[in-house]
Amino acid sequence: MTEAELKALMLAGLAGDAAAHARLLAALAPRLRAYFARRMGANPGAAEDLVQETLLAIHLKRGLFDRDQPLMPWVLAIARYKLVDSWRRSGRRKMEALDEVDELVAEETADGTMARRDLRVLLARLPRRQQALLHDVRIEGLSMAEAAERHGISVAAVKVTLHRSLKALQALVGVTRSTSDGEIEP
Amino acid sequence: MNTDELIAILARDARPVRDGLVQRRLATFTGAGLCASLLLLLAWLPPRPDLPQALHGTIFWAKGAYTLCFALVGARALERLARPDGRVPPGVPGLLALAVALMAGAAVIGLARAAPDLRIALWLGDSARVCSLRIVALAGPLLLMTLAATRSLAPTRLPTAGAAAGLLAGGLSASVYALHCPESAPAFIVCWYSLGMLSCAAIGALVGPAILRWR
Repeated sequence: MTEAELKALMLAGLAGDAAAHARLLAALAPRLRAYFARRMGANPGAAEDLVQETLLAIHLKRGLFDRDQPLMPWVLAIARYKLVDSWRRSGRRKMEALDEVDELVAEETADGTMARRDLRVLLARLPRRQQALLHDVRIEGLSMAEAAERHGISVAAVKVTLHRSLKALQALVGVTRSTSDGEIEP
Repeated sequence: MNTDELIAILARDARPVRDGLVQRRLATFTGAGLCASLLLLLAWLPPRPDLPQALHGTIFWAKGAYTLCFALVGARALERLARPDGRVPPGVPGLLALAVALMAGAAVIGLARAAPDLRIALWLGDSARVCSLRIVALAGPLLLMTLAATRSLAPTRLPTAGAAAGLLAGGLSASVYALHCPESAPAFIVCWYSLGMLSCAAIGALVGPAILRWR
C-alpha cells in the first residue's frame, strides 16, 4: 500500500470509518514489525510488544495527526519514540520486575472461555475506575478533561488509566486467544 | 500474542475525531495558566500607577508586542512540537531574532542619544535586579499548564518541546508583568525582559525530558 492509500485510510478512520481504521492498523502492523525487528534483533517478543504499543499509540493519538502532512513520517516518529522509550526503560531493573508481575497477573486471569472475548465481559474484568473511565471516554465520548473532572483526577491520570486499561484488555485477549479461537462479535 | 485482536478492539473504538485537537488543547491550558498568572500578579504586585496614561503611549504597546512576539513564537513552535513528527517550523527562529534585533536597535539608538552618565541608568532602570526573576516567578503557573498540555499530546523532541512551552509561558508572563512594570527604555527591555523570557525557555528545556514523557 502506498503512502497515499495509507493516508486515505487514516483520514477515513478519523472521520469515523472503523473498517478503514482497522485496515490501516492491519497494514501498518507488518511495517512496524519490520521496523522493530531490524532494531531489536534477537528479541522478537519484545519487538511484537513494541508493535502493539505503537499501534495503540497511533490509535490513541490519531487526533494529533495533521491532515495536511504525510502519514508515514508521523507513524515512524511514534515508533521511534516507543523504541527509545523501551531502551530507556529496559535500563531500569525495577521496570522489568513490574513487567513480570504484569505477565503473571495476565496468566493468572487467563483460564479463559469464549465468552470472555466479548468486550463487555472483558471490560468487567478491569478495575472499577478503569471500567468507568473507559465507559465515559470511549463509549460516552467525554473528553479526557471532562472525564478527569468527573472523577476528580488529573487529565494525566485519566490518560494513564485508559492506557493501562487498554493494555490490560490487550493482555486478557492475548492470553485468551491461545485457549480458544472464537470470533470477536462485531 | 495477537496483534490482530488488538487491532479489532481498537477498530471498534474508531469514533470520528475532530480536527484541531492540538490547538484547542494548547489554547485551553494556556488560557487557564494566563488567568492564574494574572491573579498572581494582582495578589502580589500593584499595577503601574500610570497604567491608564501608558495605554495611550506607544512604548507600552511596543513592549507588549515584543513580549507577545516571544509568546507567539513559542506557541507556533509548540503547536508543531506537541506532535510526534513535529519540528521547529521554518521562519520561527528568524521571527524571534528579528524581534530581538529591532529592540536591540532601539536600545542602541536610545543609549547613543542619552548623556553618557545616564546610560547605565537607562540600562538598569529601577528594577533590573528583580525584573527577570519576577518574570520567571509569574511564569510558574503558565509553565505548568503549557507543559501539562504538551505532555497530554505526544511530543517526541522533549527538550525542544519543553523550550517552546517555556517560551510561550515566558512571553505571556512578561506581558503580564508589563502591567506592573513601568520601565520603558529599550535597553532595559531587551536585556532584562529577554533574560526572563529566555530563562523560562531554558527551564522548559531542562525539565522537558523528565516531565513530557508520555506512554
